[in-house]
Amino acid sequence: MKSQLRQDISLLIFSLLVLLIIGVIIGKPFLLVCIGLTAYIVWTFYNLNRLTKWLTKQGKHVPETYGIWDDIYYQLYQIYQRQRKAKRKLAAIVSRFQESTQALPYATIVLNRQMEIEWFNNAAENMFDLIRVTDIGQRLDNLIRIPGFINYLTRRDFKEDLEFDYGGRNIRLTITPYGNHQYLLGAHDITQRRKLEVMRQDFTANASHELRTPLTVVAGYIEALQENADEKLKIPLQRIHEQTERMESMLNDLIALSRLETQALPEKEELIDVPALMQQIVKDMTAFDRGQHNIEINCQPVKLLGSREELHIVLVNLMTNAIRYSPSSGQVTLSNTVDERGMCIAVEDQGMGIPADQIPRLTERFYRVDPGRSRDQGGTGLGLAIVKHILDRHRARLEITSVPGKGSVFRCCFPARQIAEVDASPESIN
Amino acid sequence: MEQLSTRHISQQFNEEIETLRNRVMKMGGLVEQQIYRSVDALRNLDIKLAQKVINKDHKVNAMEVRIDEECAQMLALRQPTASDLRMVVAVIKTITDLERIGDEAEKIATMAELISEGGGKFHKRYAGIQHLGKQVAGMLHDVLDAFARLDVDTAIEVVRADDTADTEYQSLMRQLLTYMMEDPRTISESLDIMWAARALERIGDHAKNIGEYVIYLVKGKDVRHIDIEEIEKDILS
Repeated sequence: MKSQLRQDISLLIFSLLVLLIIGVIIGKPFLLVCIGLTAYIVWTFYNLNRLTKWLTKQGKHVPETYGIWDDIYYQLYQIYQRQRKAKRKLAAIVSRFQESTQALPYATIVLNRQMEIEWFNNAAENMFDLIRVTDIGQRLDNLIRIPGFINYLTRRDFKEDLEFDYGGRNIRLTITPYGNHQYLLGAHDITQRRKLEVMRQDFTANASHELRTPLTVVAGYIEALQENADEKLKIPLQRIHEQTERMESMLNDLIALSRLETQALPEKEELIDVPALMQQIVKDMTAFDRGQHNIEINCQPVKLLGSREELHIVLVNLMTNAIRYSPSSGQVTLSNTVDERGMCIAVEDQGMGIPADQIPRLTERFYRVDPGRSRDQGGTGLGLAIVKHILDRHRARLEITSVPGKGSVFRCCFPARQIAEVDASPESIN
Repeated sequence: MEQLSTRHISQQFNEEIETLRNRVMKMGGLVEQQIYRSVDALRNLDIKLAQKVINKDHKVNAMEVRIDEECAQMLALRQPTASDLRMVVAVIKTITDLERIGDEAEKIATMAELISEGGGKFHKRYAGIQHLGKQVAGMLHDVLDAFARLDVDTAIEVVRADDTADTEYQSLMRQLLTYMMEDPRTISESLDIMWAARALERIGDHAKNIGEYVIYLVKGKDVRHIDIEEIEKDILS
C-alpha cells in the first residue's frame, strides 16, 4: 500500500518534471505544469466518480484501473466478499434456528418491547388463529383480548405462569424476558390434563363418600356386638372397632382434602385474630395432651385475612404432630413473628426430628418417615397434605427445618398482603 | 433538523393512535367476555356469574368514557387527517356500539337472574339461545379481529353473518311462541328468554355496525344502510 503510494507520487513528480523540461524548452513551463496538474485532478475525479458508482451498485466486477486506485478497489472488494460470506452464514443459522423452533410442539411467539409480534411458529398459528404475514408487527393483546391475559401482559410480572381459557381450550402460558426487552411466549394446551385432574378429584371425592356408607354400617354393628360379646371375642372386636374408627377418620380427611382441592377460597375472607386463635388451640391441645408435654405459647398481636376454620385445622394438625412425635415431658412451642415480609406461625418441638432428605416428601399423601413407628401413633397420613393445601389457598408457604434427634420447626409463612393490620405496639402475650 | 423534529412528532402520534386502537381492543375483549359469561349464566342459571357480569358493566362504561375523551383530545391537539382521522372517527363509533353490547350482555345476565329466581322449569328451551349466543359472540370476535388487522374481507363476512343471526332469532321467536301457546304456564319464563334472545340479536346488529366502521376505516367509504351485494361490488371493484 505504502510503496504503491510512493510509486504513484514519484510517477507524478517524474511526469511533472518532464513537462517542466518540455515547458522550459518551448518557453511556457508554468502553463504545461498547470495542464499536467489539471489532467491529474481530472483523472482523480474520474476515479472517485467510478468508485462511488461501483459502491452504490455493489457490482461484482471490479473496474480495471491502476496505481493506488487499483489497491483501493481490491481492498474494498475483499471487505465486500467477506461480509457477503458472513451474511450468508448468519442467514443460514437464522433459518436453521427458525426451522427448529418452527417444529416445536409448543406455541412460541417472540414479542418486542411494545408486545408486538415479531415471530411465531406453526403451533402458535393454530392455537391463537394468527395469520402469518399480516400479524407480524401487530400487538398481541389486540388479537388475544381475554381481560386476564391483557392484565398479565400489562403487569409485566412474568414470574408465575398464566392459565386461561381461549376458544374452549385451557392454555398454560409462560413468558420469558430476554435480550433487550424482548419476550419469548410459550403456550401449551392443558385441556386434557385439566380434565384428568378433575376426574381424579371427582374419583377421590366419590370413592370416599361411597366407602363411608358401608363403613358406618359396619361400625354400628360392631358397637352393638361389643356390648354383649363373650370374653373371647372382646379383644378382636375391640381391634376391629379401633380400625374402623381409623378408616373413618382417614376417609374424613380424604373428603376434606378433595373439598379443599375443588373449592376456591371463599370470596370474602374473614379477619382472623391470630393470638386469640393460638390461645384457643393451646387450650384445646393441653386438654388433649393430658399434661404429658410442656406446651408454651408466645404470640404477637396480628390480624390475618383468611378462613378461620381452615387455619384452625392447620394449627391443630401441626400441634398434634408435634405432640405425637415428642417424648413425654418434651416441650412444644407455638409462636408467631411479624415483620415487613409478612407473618410466620411456628410450631416447635423437641422430638426425634426428620432426616433432611425426607423433608420435601412430607406433604405427600400417606407418606411416612418411619412406616413401622408412625402407624402405632395413629394419624391418617393426610394431615400435612391438608396443611399444605390450606396454606396454598392462603398464598402461604410451609417451611420445615429439622435436626434429627433435636427437634423440628414447622413454620407457616403468610405474605404481607394477607395481613390485615399490625397493632402499633407489638407486645408479646404469654 | 426541522425534518427530524417533524418525524419525531409523527412517531409519537403513531404511538398514540396505536395505543388508542389497543384500548379499543381491550374494551372489546372485556365486552366479549361479558357476552360469554352472561350466556353461560343463562345456560347454567348461575346467579353468581350473572351478578359478576352486572357488576362489571360499569367498567365497560368507564372505558368508553375514557376512550371518548382521548379521541376528543386527539382531534383537538393533533387535528388528524385522512386515515388517521378515519381511525379516530371509527374508534368513537365503535366504542359506542361496544358499550351498547355491554348493556345487552348485562340485560341477558339480568334475565338469567330473573329466570333462576322463577325456578327455571323449562330449561331445555335454552338450546337455541345457546346457539345464537355462540354465533353473535363469534361475530364480535371476528369483527374485532378485523379491526385489529384492518381486514376488510372479514368485516364484510361479519356484515353478511348478521342476516343469519336475524333468521336464527326469528325462528327462535317462533319456537318460543309455540311453547307459549301450548302451555300458558311457560309464558313468563319464555318472555324472559325472549328478552335475552332479543338482546343477543341486538349484539349481532352492533357487531355488524362495527364491521361497517372497519370498512369505512380501511376503504374510506360509508357503507351504512346499503345492501351487502352493493357493498361488495363497491369495495371489490
